[in-house]
Amino acid sequence: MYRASAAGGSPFPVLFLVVALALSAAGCGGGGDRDPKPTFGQSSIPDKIYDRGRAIDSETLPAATSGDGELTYTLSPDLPAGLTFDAATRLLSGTPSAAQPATLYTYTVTDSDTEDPDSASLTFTITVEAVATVSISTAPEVDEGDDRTPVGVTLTLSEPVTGPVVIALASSGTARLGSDFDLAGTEVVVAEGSTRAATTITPIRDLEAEGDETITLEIESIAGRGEIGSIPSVDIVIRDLGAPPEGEYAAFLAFFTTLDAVEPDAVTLTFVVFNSGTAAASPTQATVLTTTPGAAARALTSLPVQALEPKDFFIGTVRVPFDELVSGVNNIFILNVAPVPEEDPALLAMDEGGAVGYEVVFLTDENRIPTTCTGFERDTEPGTLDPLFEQQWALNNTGQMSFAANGGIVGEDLNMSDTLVDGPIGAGVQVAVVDSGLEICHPDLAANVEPGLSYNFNAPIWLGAQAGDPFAASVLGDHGTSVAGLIAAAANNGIGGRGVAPGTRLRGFNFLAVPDQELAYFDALGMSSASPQSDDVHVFNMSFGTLGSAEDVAADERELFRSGVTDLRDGLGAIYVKAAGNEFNDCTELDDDRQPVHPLLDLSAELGCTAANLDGINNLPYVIAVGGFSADGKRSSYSSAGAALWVVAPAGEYGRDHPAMITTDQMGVDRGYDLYGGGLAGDAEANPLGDYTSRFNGTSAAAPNASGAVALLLETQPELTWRDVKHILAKTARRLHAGIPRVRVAFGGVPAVLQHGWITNAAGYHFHNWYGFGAVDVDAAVAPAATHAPDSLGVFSESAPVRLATGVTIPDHDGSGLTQTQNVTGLSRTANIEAVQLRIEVTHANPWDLGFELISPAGTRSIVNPVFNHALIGVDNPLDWTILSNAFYGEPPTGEWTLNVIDAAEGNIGTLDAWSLIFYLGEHPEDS
Amino acid sequence: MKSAKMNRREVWRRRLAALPVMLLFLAGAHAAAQGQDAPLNVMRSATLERPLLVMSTDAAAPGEVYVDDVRIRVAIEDGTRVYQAFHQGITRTLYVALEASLRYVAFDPERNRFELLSPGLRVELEDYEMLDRVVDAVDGTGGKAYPMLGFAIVQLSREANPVDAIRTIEAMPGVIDVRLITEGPRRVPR
Repeated sequence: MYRASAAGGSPFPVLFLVVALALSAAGCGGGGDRDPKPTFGQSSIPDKIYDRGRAIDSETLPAATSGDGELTYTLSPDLPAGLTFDAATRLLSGTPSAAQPATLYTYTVTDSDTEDPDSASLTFTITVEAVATVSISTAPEVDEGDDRTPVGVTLTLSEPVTGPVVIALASSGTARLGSDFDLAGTEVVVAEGSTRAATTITPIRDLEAEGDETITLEIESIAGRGEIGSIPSVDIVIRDLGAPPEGEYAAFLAFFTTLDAVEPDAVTLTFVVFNSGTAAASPTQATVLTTTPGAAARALTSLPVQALEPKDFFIGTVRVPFDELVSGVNNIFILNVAPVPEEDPALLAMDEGGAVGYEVVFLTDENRIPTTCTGFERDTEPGTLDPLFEQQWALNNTGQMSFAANGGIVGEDLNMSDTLVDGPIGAGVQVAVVDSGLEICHPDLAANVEPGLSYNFNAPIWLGAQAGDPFAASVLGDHGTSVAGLIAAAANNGIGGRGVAPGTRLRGFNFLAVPDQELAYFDALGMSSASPQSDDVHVFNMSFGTLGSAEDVAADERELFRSGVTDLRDGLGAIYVKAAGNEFNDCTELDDDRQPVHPLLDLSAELGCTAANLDGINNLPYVIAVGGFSADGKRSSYSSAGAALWVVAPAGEYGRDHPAMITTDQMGVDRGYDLYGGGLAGDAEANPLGDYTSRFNGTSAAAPNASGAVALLLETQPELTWRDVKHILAKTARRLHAGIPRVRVAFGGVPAVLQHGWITNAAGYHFHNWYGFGAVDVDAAVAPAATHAPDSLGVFSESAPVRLATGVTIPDHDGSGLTQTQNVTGLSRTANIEAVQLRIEVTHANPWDLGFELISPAGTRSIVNPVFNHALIGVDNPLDWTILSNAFYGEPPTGEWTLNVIDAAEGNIGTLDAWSLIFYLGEHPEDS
Repeated sequence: MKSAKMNRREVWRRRLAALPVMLLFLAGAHAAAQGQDAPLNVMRSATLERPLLVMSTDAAAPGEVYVDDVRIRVAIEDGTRVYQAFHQGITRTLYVALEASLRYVAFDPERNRFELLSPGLRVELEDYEMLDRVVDAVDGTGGKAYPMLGFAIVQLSREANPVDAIRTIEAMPGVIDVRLITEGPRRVPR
């Protein structure tokens, strides 16, 4: 902005000028300007904007011409502090030292005509902008384990300024960018008018003892009205948390018992102890104690157990005559394997060198151990609401306490509010509870138990047991009875709660209680037309897992499931619903309170200690592996994770601090999970007869909740195939725990992602190793089940293995790992993946060092086996193992597949001998 | 970090082969002891996939025997029968209480571990109508065919010697295949 003027500084010259001009116009001039006036050769001077504290570019203001005599230049009003105007040279220069808003300046030239001085002026504005000082701040130190909570780095301006300020940062120090930490941005912009901006530093975990490391983060340069202040840099110490402890626990004694015989005058227990660790256990002693409520324990027998080396067994049998027991009460057996003779049950604990197991049998006054479901009188009130329903968070989570100390989060349930009102109830659907037993006379189950179709495999060895009554001889909780209640406890009978599908027809097979399980396996899972009749079952609930290291299922076992989904239900396929496993916390890294024993090792709390692929059944495409979630809408703390999961369902926590599941229990206050006390146990008002528990949990609980949901789908559309059911569950699953961060750790200075956050694959399915496709959503699934065209997913096919023999060394302790690709061709272009199996053949002394990630042609990444999976401790070397991922569901199979193998630990070098992919395919136009 | 960090509360690591194994007697079903009388009832066998050494838990007297490159030692210590297999520089031990009901165990040289045997045999027959005869032939406690799977299971009494039973069944016409059944990984409530 400028302004030019021909006027002088007083009225007189103006008047004179006007008169002169008038005379001139009237022809009175007489041939020349007798009073020349100064003039500028330009009509304006650009406005000036300077920055405070910064020297301006010196500028010579324009000179004027003409005028009488010497010309004098002035500039007014006063210039901003720090600027000077030299009238002789017309030079404007200096460094403004104070901010100033736009101010109009008049630049005047005056001639030296003393009688009639003339002048001319130009105007312009001068603005002096503020310039902020920029300082940097952050936390002085951070643990390297805090990689899930990035540290903020704040850049602060001393005052707001005009225009953005762009600050470039540079890092130095002993910590390396990209391997020890990440910097979210090296250029930070403070917006106009703001005084603050931030970036983040994320330490990257490693598992190495490398000492504390320092990051020096300094302001390298600033663009805009900012300048480096008094704090140009900060030092951040990344506290090294060292390496995890090694070899702290080298031996682990695992244990199981079976009730081998119930005789007229004795009971026989067999117990098996096994060292599942990798070093010798201490010499121990196996002691069998017995006690009754309130009485001291007595030793029945004791056997020395030599120091068990890894993979060594101890097999003991104890036959206890009834005359050593107490009639009319529960007799508790404590089978204790401990380094020293130990007769105080309170001190018994699973630990290195020790193991403990329990059995409890009730000996009647007539010296009999009941083996049939008789003698329990109960009343029901049909048409009356179920009193415990309002506490069943899995069905309708209102935030209720469910007999725990804390409630959950509203809505974190099976989402079946519509179904509960007028939806399906599982009518006509046959569900087999393949488990420890089933109380077929339980008042909340009896109405739904299919008469004569349950089966007790132990009838020949348990005195009085009936083949059609899988009653549990042990009274320390019948797992199967509690599982059954979650599926199909009767609704509106005035007692207890209700199941997800209270119209389902139940039968129980006590496969888990059989001493020789291999002989009952095929019978219990659909291959038998009589004794038991299992080949007409629609849904097999398999709330069980395996003890042992990772191992493929046997060929016959695999064929069992393949045949089950192919032949049963008149070719529609039985639905096998399988508990994913409770081994998430089964590792060294957590102490007795499930807290990490070392700060770094909360890695295990993210990845899990033992993955769901431990159980070979979970690695089959024919099953629905179900994980568990709790009333807060997050993974149940114990629920095994992995790519083999299909969905999750309510399972809860332990029922003390946070809700577990409310379900049927062995009848009686002195039978069942009541014996552990707490929750519903001993609650004379809510559970007067002791027929219910509020502390049932595990993926054993998740599976029946999912089985119930499947029963609802099958009632809705009985012609659904097993693949239809899986498809609908995946399609409608509810994503929970949004925002769960990825897990990343550096090995050998190279960061590697060990677990992804939620991914969305190329077919649009969300997947996370903690949750599979998400939580079973009953209301969302029932609706499409009604309209889904059965058997519309194309022909199910299994590809031949696509194998690459490599024999390549896996880089040791290197986060970049070994990457190989295979181009998959020859499969239908319209095919959609339903599951992918990865067979790995490796030679490595410690395969648990290894992580395997598979990347599809569409770019979907799936951690098929996480590093440090305890399932791989003690496996064979070389390892030949087939594992499964569901993460690619719906994607096309053809194209380039990538396998990345990471060896996360230093000290053993292995080779990837070969890897193969097996595709299970259908055709899903809607997914393509 | 070094490899092989150990675990305290890791789950059961029992290593039982799940694969039923085919038992093929080699010439001389009983082990040929090397340089000594065979004090053990160790029976050398082979399967289609791998060999197994089958031994009784009640008939084995203390002693030692070689079967191929496996040395089997049996001792009785503190009321426990101790089986040790020495193979490829590794020693595996199985302790069985004298009163235990377990009657037969096996050692798998290929996988270097003991296996628990189920009291049953997996048989493939040309015609499953003959299953009852097969059961009778070995005094089995029962038998059931699984047509969808293409085999049957013959249940043996706990006292029955599975090796003898296999020998008997193998000799029957119409028998395609007979295998031992090892107890797979123990299934437990989850």
